[in-house]
Amino acid sequence: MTPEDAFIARPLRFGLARTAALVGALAAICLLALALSARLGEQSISLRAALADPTSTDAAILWSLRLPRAILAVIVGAALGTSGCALQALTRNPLADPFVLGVSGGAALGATVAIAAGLGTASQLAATPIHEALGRISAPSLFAFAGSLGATALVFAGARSGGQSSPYAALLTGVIFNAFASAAITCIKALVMPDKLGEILYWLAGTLGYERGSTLAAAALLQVVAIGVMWLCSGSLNLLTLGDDDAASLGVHVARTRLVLLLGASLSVAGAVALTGLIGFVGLIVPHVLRLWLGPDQRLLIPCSALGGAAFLTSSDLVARLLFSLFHTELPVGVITAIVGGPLFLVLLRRRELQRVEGL
Amino acid sequence: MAAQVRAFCDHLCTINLVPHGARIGFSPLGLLVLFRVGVEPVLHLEGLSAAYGRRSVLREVSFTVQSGELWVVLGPNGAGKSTLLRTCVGLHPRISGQIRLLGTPLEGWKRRDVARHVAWVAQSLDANIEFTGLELVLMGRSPYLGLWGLPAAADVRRAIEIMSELGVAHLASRPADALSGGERRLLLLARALVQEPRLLVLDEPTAFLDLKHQAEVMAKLKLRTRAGLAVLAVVHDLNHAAAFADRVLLLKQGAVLASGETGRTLVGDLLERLYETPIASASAGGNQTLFAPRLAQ
Repeated sequence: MTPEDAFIARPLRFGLARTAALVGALAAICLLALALSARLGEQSISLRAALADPTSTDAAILWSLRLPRAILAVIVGAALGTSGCALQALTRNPLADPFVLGVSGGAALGATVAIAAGLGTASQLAATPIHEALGRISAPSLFAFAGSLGATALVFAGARSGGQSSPYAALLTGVIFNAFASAAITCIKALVMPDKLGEILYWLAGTLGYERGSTLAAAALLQVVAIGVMWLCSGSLNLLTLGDDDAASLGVHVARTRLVLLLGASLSVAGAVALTGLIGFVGLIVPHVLRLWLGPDQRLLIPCSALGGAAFLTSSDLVARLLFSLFHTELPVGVITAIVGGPLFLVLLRRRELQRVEGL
Repeated sequence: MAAQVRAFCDHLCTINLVPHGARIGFSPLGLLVLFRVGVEPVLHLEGLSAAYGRRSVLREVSFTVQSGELWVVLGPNGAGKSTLLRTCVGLHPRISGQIRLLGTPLEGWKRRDVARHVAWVAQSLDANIEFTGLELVLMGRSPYLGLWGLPAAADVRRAIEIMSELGVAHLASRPADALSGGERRLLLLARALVQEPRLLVLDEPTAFLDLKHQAEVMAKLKLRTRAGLAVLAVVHDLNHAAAFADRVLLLKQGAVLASGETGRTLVGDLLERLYETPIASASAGGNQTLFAPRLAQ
């Protein structure tokens, strides 16, 4: 590369080498968070001992508690980070988060209805041969999944006019739907028994639990597909951030690309929300921080948001668990994500603004 | 040396020594030669009508832009000029009429193929775009690139070349949201040229630009038409239209008031009917005419 080439390449922030390096580095951070999360807790365990002797207590804690929960954090963090990133670009609104298009309202309403109706597992819905299979899925999860997808479909149908959907109309419809769902949930909360109220509040706060291996595998597969689709569309997403007309004039099939991206983001969030409830801040803060650091290129931001979200949620959950001995109760992980993420974001934003004033 | 020869030939074209539809260049023997550039209809509109909801915006608009022609669309605010441009490139639906691009109906074209032949530049760019100047200009190559739009070294060189030509190469690493409206405008123009289109559709290409850049941009567009590029531009400055346009289209309330050669169409009484205001014109030497609104004393 000649010096002239180096100068030319400098303003380009997306390249295969840089993407590979960044994705590699973030994946390493993610693995480190996963390992720490598996090792540390109220009772720290030795990973070496756990791996060496499958019958030890350490192995039991690792395989049945720590690892499933850490993997769940990775899956959900990746989903929230990526879909937040895609939706911020798609709605051209930096305040958008994964829940903005009615997903949180739909999921919360679905889960609340399931809990209020006293449905423990999905098998209570059908007494057929699929009974056993459904017995493994919790009814609130299933209702939350269906609720979030239904809400997104409703928001999009509501935001369409004359065959075209505007991001602003979708955003507003989503906000209105979330407000409506919140009112409906308040109504249900007022009517249910106190024991169910506790369960509803626990679900709404968003917590990482312990899922079985098959559920985790299915969730991971869903996220790989959804995140993969969003990454494949990230080049077009870059052009969409310029505006629909600009994107179309540069060869993007706007309506189709937007639909695919929204479908990917909605499936991803629905899959995450069904497992953990509503964990806030990850989908807002992770893409924001990465954008301040890496620039606006979605081809880089989408994979980095997935890994960044995974690392951030896993670390936050670790902190929440470590603080157990201090508070004698486990803080919802959403509290940690907000407390850690907020100040970090402000520091980065301030640094960026200073750079901008100095002329970059 | 080759670049100097090209610059010299370009200069001959801009000073109107070379007739329309022709191009000048150096033969391998070092002799100046004049050759014809084939003229063909690039954009053909027939009875085009468009609307926003129930409000009719364009009514029965017909005209043909040939390769190598610079067309200027003039008209008062709200006449439907921008809608006309957007409809021409398929960004706004039409309710009736036909649009043919290089002889083929527009509906027979794939979006990506249209982008390889037609570049469109909006009135302005969202002020919050954080891409650098070079990243923004390189987006013009995306109709030619793969899924992720990864540019090859040749694409980057081409982008830098065009940015240098428009005098914005120094903005390569500056984020667009830190630039002025005029600088963003020039980057958009560079992006459109990087698309290597046959037809350039520009909505007020000189808006936000200072006097020097306005004239420079128009002259550069004019020069490119000599190489066969067709340009369709909405312009508000009558003097730019008079100095640079081959043909003008006067659009009033969505319908064509008049269209044709600049010299015959850009005349006082038609312009007064178009803008519904008295207009004074004067010769500024050579064949340049200047227009100004006649102000009430």
